[in-house]
Amino acid sequence: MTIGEWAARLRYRYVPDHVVGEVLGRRWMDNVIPVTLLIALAIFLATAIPNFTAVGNISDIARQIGELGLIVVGLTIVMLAGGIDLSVGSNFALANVTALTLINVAQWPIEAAIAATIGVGALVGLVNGFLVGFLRLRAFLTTLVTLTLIRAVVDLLLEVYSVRIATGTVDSSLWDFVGAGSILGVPFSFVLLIVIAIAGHFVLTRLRVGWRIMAVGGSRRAAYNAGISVPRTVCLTYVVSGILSALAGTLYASRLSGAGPDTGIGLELTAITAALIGGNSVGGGRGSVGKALMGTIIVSLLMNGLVRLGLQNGASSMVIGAVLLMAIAIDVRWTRWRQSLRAKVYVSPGYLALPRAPLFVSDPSSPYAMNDRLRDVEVIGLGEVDGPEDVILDPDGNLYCSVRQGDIVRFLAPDYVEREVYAHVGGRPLGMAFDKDGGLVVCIGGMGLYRVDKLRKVQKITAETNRSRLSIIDDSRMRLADDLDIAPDGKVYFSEATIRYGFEEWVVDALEGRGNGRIIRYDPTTGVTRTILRNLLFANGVCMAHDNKSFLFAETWACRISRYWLEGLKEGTTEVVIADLPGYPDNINRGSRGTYWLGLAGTRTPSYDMAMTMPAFRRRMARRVAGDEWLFPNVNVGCVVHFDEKGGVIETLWDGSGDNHPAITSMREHRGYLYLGGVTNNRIGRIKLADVDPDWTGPASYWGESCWGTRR
Amino acid sequence: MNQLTRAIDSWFGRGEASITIPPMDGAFRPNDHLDLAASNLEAPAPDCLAVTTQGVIVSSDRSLLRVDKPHGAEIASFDMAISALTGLPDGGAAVGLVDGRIVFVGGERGGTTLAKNPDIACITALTPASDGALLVANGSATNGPAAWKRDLMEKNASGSVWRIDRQGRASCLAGDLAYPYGLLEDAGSLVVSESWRCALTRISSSADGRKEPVLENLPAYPSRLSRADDMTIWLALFAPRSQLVEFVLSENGYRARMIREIDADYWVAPCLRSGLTPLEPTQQGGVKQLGVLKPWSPSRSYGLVARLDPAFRPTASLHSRANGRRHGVTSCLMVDKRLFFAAKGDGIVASRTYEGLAS
Repeated sequence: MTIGEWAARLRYRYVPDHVVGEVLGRRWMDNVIPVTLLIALAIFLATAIPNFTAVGNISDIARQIGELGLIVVGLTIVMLAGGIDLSVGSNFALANVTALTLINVAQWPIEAAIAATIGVGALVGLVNGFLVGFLRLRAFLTTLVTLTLIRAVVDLLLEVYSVRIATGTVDSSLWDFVGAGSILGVPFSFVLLIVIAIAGHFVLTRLRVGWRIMAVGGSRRAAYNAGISVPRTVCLTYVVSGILSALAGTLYASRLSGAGPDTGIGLELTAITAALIGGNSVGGGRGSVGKALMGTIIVSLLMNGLVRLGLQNGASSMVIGAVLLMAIAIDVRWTRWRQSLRAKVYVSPGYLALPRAPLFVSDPSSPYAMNDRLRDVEVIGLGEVDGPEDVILDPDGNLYCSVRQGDIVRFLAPDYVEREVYAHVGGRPLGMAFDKDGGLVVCIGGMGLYRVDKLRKVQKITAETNRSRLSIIDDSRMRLADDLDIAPDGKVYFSEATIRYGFEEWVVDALEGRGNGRIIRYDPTTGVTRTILRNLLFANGVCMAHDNKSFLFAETWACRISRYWLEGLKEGTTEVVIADLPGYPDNINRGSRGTYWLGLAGTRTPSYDMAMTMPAFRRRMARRVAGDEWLFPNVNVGCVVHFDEKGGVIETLWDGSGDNHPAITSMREHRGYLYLGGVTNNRIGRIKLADVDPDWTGPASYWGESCWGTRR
Repeated sequence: MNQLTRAIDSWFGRGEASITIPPMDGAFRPNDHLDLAASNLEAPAPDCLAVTTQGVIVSSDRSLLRVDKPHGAEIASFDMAISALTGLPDGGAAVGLVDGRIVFVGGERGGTTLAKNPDIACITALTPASDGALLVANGSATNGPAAWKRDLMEKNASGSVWRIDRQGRASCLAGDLAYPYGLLEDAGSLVVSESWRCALTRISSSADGRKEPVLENLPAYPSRLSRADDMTIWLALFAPRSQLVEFVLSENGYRARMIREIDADYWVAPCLRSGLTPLEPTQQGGVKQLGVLKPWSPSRSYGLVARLDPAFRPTASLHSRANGRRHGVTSCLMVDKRLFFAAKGDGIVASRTYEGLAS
């Protein structure tokens, strides 16, 4: 190995390139800009303004944050559903006047007055909601009109009541507490905001109505198609916004007890600025209450700081306007930029030096030497199956295969002409195995581990495992469960090919050639799913050894078969059984007389092997060359390897021209025949075997001759 | 500034460094006209076609065969493989051998041999000049005709065009050509197909051998040129350009290692017939789906013949696509309204009538 190769190996082993793309894919990346902004602003203000961090000042700011925050939370909820509410400022002023009139002039009890005020706010929200939600008027124009109308109402009310409001007095400790009280030293309004924010967060993230709001904002049409009542949901958000504005107005009334014509003027702009700078999207569907709070704090600190810095009133509006523009720009550009950057950097090839490939083409004495033994296989179901990744036979000889449409298709013995959909499981069913009760356990790409019982009822077994501590992407969900086998105690050992890609993108995982796969164990007695092996190079076939003390598994990109010990001295350790296959191993299955069958989905090529040791070359290829043009292992050739317990190769069956069976991904021995499946094929193959036990069947090998009780 | 832009472009793979190839569109819209042509002759490696008094003949490995006879009656055979062939005005033929000799068969100079010239070791095309001299395309200064793949992967442009008069005196008409693989006299000047530039280049007859592009940005690598009676020009293109190959050409590290460590048959490079062994590189889009190789899938080999008008503008083309069986066409000839072509990759000479097939 040259120094360059050695350096490349180290560099790709220890520099986690894949992390960048994964981090960019996380939703919490949306918070990076607001959090940075908040921290920078806080540091700047704390250093630039003396006494900025004094308790009194902080408490003042917190009280204002309480009022503004309620409005921003309401507005955020409207925006999440894809709308906008400009009337919040006027509504706030209306609530202020209403509360003061009811309390100072009409001398209503405080509780009743607050309830009535909130009712008025809700009514305004309902008007908005009705117009926008049910009549489908444009949110922007509608609320602009209600802004003006309500402002007019406020002015009328002020003309009548302003003097009496100013002269009226209130003597209520409750009202004073609302306006100036504190709980454990924290201003009441701020506490109220926190309580409402927590409740709002809970509703939005945990309750049905919250999910509906997010869905409507994400895509109105999709939400409608999913059966969500879009008008009602939209209307609801305006009502919530109205209520929260009224609540803020009430707090304001209790704090200042004054009604002037300029109350709440321009408040909508401040609220929108806060909502956007916090990272909520203008278009809806993306955002949270937490972001609203963060935005509120940023804007409040900024406004307060500007006043303390002695800026003119106009200048401070200008700063707010500038911040709003920035927020809009970030909202538009950030997501797009993040997605495009992620698309560029997500694929991160690794360094993979494979052992020298056996000379299967040029050396006729190689155990893998090419032949044409698979050229004349019998063909079953030609053109009737789309990609039978795995095939399996029951004791009666019926043939099951997992096909692309999400079905388990069954061909009936003995002639395999009659075909039926045994069960529709959805997803992309891949590996299959029978359990001791005759249930068919299936690995489904995109879904997890499922079981089809003898009555054809489909049940989920597991779709979640323990999350790795250092993984950035959430690897608890299964993305590409691939193949499984079942131990005598019922434990299911199954492989997940890669945690970074779904089934449709497995090709990209080939390009990466890094250890993204794993093996997972499901224990039926405890119901616990645990990952037992990680960092495998496309974990694929899994097969219990004949003595059940270990299982064999295939790592496709590594071109090797390994054994994991379940008991004995080597329990919990892995050892390599075949290190240098001539191609890419897929499923492993038991054969008669203590042997195993292995499908090779394709052959290694010198050009690809070399590319695997040049990660930068592959990364550039992924970016600059269209996916269809990518260099790829040769999967137009089919091969089956027959090997013994020690990994010694007994025979190899090739279809070199790939006319009948390119890309063999599975095979099963059954009563002297071998059945072949392929993930891109439109047929199942069957070939008569010599030198095997003509009575051997898979189910009997696993569960005994008289398995599953009755036999038809 | 230019240098800097180029460096930045090559780092990001954009601008001049972006990997683009011309699409098969316009006059190059795909069809399966080559696959529909009737087979005339199957031979190990039919390469170059010519018309002599014996009719249409073709070179295949070491022999010259008659195309119109069912089993390709052998006219002549040599101790070396033939790399180029042309018919002469007197009805004879000139044959270029891989070691650089030129042998005349039939006609008034029949039986004579021009000794090898050390400067002309890679004869890829021959054509008679109007004054009785012979024009010779020398593909590469460093690689023989069999090592054309290496010449491409080394990104050479060391080919040259020579004129050998009846006395055997050779003079160089132009050098620094990127694998000249076809010759055609045109209005006193010479048009050369430069394979690695995917272009046709005109070499003026003046002493300085000035070069000027005639047709550029071909979607495949051009080889021999011929002219039909109606003055249209027929161009054989022996392998398709592909994004992957262009990418590998831009990757110096990978290319150097590939040339050093891998057998040329298994290179990521164009070829006359792909898919012969499982050790060849394949591409993602070339995976058989449901037992079918899609005709539009990326392929390292292809069959293509283009029809150019007298001004060398492409007007139509005949194809054998990724799933076709007429790949690697190195020569084509229009005789009596019948188009003959030699698909070297698939070992077949076929012909069909051509009267403005819709492309």
